[in-house]
Amino acid sequence: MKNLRLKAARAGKDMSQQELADAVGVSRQTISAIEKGDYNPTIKLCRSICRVLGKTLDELFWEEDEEG
Amino acid sequence: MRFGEMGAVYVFVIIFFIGVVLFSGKRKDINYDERQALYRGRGYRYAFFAVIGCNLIYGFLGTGIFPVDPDLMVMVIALFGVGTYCVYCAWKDAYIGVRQNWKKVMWSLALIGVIDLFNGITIILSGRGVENGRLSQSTLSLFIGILFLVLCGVLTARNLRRDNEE
Repeated sequence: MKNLRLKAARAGKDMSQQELADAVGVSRQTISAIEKGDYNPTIKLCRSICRVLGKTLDELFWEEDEEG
Repeated sequence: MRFGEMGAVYVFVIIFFIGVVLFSGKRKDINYDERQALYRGRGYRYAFFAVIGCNLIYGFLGTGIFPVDPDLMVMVIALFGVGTYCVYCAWKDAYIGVRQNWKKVMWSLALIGVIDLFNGITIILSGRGVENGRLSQSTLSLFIGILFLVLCGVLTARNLRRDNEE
């Protein structure tokens, strides 16, 4: 499933995939894969991304339909 | 020492000095992120099974069916394993590290590939590539050249796709 919230948060900070990747220390392709839903990041990487984008884990990575 | 062997020595010396010039003084650790590490691990597994599969096929079919020297065949199968690993990692964007300069990697691979391919073709044209109707061990550089150029092609295709994405 695509992570559009991550994409929106990144765009909200006016950051490119490469800039976000550099900020969290991964490759641009990894950010692209997360946004496209091709890769599930570890909690460590999720936290780094949240820290850089100023969001919480819930805001970026929690899927509502998993609650029930 | 024959011309081909001298050529191989020259090629090795040239590659060694190019490597020294390119990489000396600015050696830095190559880091792979968690996704790349995952795919590199899978790549090892696929390469292992590729080598096992090739050896099984070669073992069952026997040495007579392939027009290749058995000693060369062992090396070609090993190269096939290396190729499987490299191509898989390249296809998954896990071959080049996070802050590695992909252009430098590409040019290095292309240079080595072209030199090896040229060396292999030279050996075949000189008539020493085929002994008793089989490809001899001296043609190994041909296979190495092909491997490097295939890897270059895959990396180029991935980078073209990346440009389109951005």
